[in-house]
Amino acid sequence: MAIPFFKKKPAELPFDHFAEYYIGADVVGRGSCQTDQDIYIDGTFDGEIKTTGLIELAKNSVVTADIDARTAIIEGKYKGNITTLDELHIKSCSTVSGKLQAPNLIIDKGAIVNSAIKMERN
Amino acid sequence: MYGLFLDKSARDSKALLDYVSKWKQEHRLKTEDYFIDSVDEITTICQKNGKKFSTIVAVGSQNLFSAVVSEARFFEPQSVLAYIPTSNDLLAKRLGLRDYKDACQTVTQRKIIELTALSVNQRYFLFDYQLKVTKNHQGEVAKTTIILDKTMKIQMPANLVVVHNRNQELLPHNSAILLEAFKQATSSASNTNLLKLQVAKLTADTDQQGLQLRLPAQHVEIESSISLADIHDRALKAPIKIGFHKRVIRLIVKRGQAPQAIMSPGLIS
Repeated sequence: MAIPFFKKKPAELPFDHFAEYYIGADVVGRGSCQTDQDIYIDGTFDGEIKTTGLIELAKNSVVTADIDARTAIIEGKYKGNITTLDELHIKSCSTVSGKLQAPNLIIDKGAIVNSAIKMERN
Repeated sequence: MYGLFLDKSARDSKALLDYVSKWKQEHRLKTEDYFIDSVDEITTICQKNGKKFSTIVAVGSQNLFSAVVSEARFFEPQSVLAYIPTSNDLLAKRLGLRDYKDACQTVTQRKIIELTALSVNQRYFLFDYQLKVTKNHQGEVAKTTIILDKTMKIQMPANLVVVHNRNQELLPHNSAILLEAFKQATSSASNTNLLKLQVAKLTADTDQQGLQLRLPAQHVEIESSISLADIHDRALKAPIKIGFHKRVIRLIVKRGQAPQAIMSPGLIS
């Protein structure tokens, strides 16, 4: 019954390991997901994702999906339509294509973005 | 009538056996004692005698306790489960038991809580259920397919899948199951558990503890091209389906033990 998960002190584990939805680098997934929890993806995913929390597509991620989220951070390869309520942060090593919609957008130097961008603030 | 299941670790401790014998006499407990060598024996005994026990006590390791819980379908709904540990393991900590002496006193004090168990192929589990996905005891990593709530299909290399029961009523979670999958190396020295069953000793091969996946779900199906077995090495026929087959388990815990400490091992230091 004892599982070997918390051999290290929790504080030493990276924060992403505590995300309710965690998809690691060797994982290939497809389908749809709707939640109010944070999502961390470092693997491959095709489909549709809706969350009222944060979504992070880490640097190994290859994601083709329509995404609705409160906040999104993209560090990997992403294709699709993404809408955020708060902020969209595209980091330097990412490749992004599709439609982006966010009231606040940050694109780091070095990021490749081939997208239609719509920014609206209520 | 009490049903006492004792594994090898209990049998090997003369002090424990003497104490339990004295405790039974002192409290005039009517018991049937079973010395267990394999999980199959537990199934046979529970099938034959399960209905006549008002209290079922696992004396030994937490593996013995989980093997007894897994046969809960053979017990009466009003029956009570108890645990007398031979070591200070996680389950003993959950239940607030310092040692076997403390556990014996706790059993007679009979502070009972009700927890909801979930089932996998008719076998119940209270806290978590571990599935090994391996070709052999060397723990070779295999491709595993997991279907969650029929909406998401996941493929990954994993040799250990852990299903956490989060449906124990007291926890503020919406999901019945939290599923985690790991890709882990196995140590060359595999250990033998106290029921004399081979259990591959899984150790983390990376700083990230080999975690591949964590997802909540209401319903899970697990498929693998190779064999699936539970922690007791009982083979399971794929696909494994884990869903809402609930059963209330009545469990004896130490008086004053906080429910959160029983449910969440993370709160136990």
